[in-house]
Amino acid sequence: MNTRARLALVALVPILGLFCLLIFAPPDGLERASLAQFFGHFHPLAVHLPIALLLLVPLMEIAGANPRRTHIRAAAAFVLGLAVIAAIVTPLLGWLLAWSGGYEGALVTRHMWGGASLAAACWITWILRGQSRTLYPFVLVATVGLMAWTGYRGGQLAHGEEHLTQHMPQTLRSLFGLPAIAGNGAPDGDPATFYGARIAPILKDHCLRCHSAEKHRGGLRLNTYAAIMHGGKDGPVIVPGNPQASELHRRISLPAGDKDVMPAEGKPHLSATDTQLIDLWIAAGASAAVPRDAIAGAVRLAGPELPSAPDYRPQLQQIAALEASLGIQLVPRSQVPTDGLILRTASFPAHASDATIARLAPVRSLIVDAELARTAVTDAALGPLATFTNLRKLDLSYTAITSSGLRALAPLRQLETLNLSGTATSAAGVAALKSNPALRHIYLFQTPAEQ
Amino acid sequence: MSPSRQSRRQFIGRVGGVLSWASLAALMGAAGAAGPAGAQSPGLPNFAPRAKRAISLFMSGAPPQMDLLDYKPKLAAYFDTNLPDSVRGSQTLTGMTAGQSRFPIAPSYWKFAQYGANGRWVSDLLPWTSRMIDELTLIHTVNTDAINHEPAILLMNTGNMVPGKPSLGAWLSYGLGNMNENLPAFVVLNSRLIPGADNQPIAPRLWGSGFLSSEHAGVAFRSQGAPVLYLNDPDGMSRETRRSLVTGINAVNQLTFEEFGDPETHARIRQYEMAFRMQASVPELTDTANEPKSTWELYGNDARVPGTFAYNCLLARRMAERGVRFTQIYQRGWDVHKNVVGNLPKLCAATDRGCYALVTDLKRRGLLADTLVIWGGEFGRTVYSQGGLTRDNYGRDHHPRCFTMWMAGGGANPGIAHGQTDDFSYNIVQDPVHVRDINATILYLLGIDHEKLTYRFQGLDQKLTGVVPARVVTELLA
Repeated sequence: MNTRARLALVALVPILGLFCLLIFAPPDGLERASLAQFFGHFHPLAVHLPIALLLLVPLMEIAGANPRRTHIRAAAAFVLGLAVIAAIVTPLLGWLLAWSGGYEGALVTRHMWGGASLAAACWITWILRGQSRTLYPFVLVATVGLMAWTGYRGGQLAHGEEHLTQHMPQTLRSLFGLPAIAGNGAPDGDPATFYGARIAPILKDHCLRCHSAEKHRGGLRLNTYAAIMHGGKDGPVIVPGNPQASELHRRISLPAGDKDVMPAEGKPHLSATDTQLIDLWIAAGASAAVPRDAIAGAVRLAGPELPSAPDYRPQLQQIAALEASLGIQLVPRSQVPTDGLILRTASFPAHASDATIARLAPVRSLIVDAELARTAVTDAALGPLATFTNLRKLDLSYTAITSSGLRALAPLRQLETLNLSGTATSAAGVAALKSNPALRHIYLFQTPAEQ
Repeated sequence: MSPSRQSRRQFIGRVGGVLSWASLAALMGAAGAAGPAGAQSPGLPNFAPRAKRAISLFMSGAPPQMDLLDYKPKLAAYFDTNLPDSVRGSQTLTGMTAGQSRFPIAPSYWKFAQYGANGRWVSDLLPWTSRMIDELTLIHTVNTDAINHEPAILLMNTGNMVPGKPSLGAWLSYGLGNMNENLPAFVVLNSRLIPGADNQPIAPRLWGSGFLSSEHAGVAFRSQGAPVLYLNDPDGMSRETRRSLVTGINAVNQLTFEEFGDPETHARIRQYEMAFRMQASVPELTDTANEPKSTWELYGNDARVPGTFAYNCLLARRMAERGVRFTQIYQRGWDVHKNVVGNLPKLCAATDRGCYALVTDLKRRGLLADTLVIWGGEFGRTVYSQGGLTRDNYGRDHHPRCFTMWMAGGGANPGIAHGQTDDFSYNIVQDPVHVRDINATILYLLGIDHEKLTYRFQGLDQKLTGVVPARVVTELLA
């Protein structure tokens, strides 16, 4: 027996072992030892080696057909040998990942058998290269084809089932016989739609740990609208218009402790509100296009309105300098840098004057909430304040503001809340605010306009 | 600096910090700790808050929910019948009633009527609360783990039954900082005792800072005499002299810090500075002489007497205006084991109008929209009578399984009633809300993700809501 035959036999052992693993220890959706997961997670990295090496082989064979480049052809055998090794190691890592990382589902199974078959196919190709010059090219092409199929399945696992087709031009889609993309195909949902604003976040919080691109228990993925409507291995989970007939409704409505209840395994249940939102959405046709507020009966969207001010971070130094020199605070409303700043004067209200407001001009578009109660500002500050274009809340209570000055605030298109308590505002002053389109709350306690 | 003068813990902490991957974070943390007093922690609020501040009206001792806000009309038919075993289940009772041979059902002595746009049932004992019922978010299904006062009141205030954890106010001070650098971020107002009521003791650990820096602890104002002692400089001491005194003490403290490296020394420096500034800010805060006539019409004449609950409600409004992040008013005396009919009217009379006045005042001044008001005790009370039951009187024991709280303003959904208890107000039928869910919701309304406001102590990322999963009760949000 020559070296080559011995090598071939040695390589056969792990290949057969691989098939044994797939048959006797298939991934079952449970998570296991983190060391196995650690090695397993090298699979997505290693997977590129057999692909590249195997693609190189036919290229080298063709390039080496030219008599001047026979050395390339000679090297193809070596590359093919490397491809065999890579094609054995990679599915072993993949099995580790699937077995320990909680994977299961038809796609995982297909990808795995594809990977194992590819290892065997590479091995056969490598044997044939020395033996049969007629059979070899066909087997090589078939192996490359098998590799493409397996790689596509892997890509679907990692990047979603439609990762190659979702942005495909419509003409190409019809060529492949794929269905046309629905009007709203955004995978995470457009926040202007009910699906994107209300349903997708619930699924994200409660379902995607087990039903997403990485893991799809029961063959079900809930990370894109198309996947939700496609359903799982037992068929669709949503019957548009009929929540009672929808498997999704049944699973999330079961009592805790039921073996079919979702989310499973003691994970927190959906709240009554969340369940109701899903039911309302299904009853309304389970469309991805229906606008956010168009479904009657849904609890109003919790969470703050979406204020928008420019990102304050580029002006951090300027903000700090203004705080130090003016004795005021410019506080981020939240860690979201476009939530705007609060102008805060509570520490030294008497120091905040008309001059303070004028000097804040460089940051005027960043301020969404101006707390000026009990400050020294007068009507002269209202002109500069009217250039704070993103201002939503303005507290001028217990200042020397008068009715005649309020007209200057008309340019504040975003202003929602205005506190004029304890000022000299009269009914005429309030009338001057009629043109502010967003103004919803005006406080007039202890003013002449109170009655 | 000689390392030998540092404690073992500080030394290990520092060396570990330098050696570990976390050294960068530790250095940043240290820089934050030495920064200006009361700064907002980096990354907070996690999202734009609904409420900028909160006021807790703490009914210490536990009000009887079925006599006030959890209306149980079917109880009348069960007068003096034994509470069915099926209702009580296998519950362990307190030592105060476990020995009773009977558990006679005591229907509420008081009449209830419907109020507001949604027809909420409110007891005759709360004539003022009933007027503002449309402003309130009623939560009928709060439940707690503890059946005795101390663990229950600790759980409610610190998220843990074991003493030593930071209180809600301390977490808010730590996370969100001061809005007014001249006042503490967290102020506690203890109200005067009500004669004849069963006044359970309370202790500063309820507003303590636990493992957080001690400047985050609540500053308790006194209920009698000057709210803060020694605010006024003695004769002959000028403001400048006081300033140079504090500067001198701080310099010595700084030397101590450089020698020992204990961050608590910095906390002490900041507390001296705060005390110095409070000498100017507290007299202005507590001076109600300029309050308009409408204030006294709203709060009543009780509010003219320092230390009453109504007075404290007025102070709480003044603190809300001036940027105190969290004010907590305690009213003791709700522990009505006996003589409910005698004592409950006194307790309600002392608190009902103050609650109404505070919510109403905040609303008309435009402050309620971003001020969260929270009312409640540490648990509920039993439907069965402790001791003898007559048509004219009864007692009620501790009951952790369900009790009623309310919220107002600050992003809570006004007018709703959340959760349902059974006909005996003994068990929860629908939508339970645990104490930790209440705390998670309060933090949420103030812009904080309760999973993210953490502090590493004893090897654990400690948080107010503890390790058992808590949820923001989104059903309560406006």
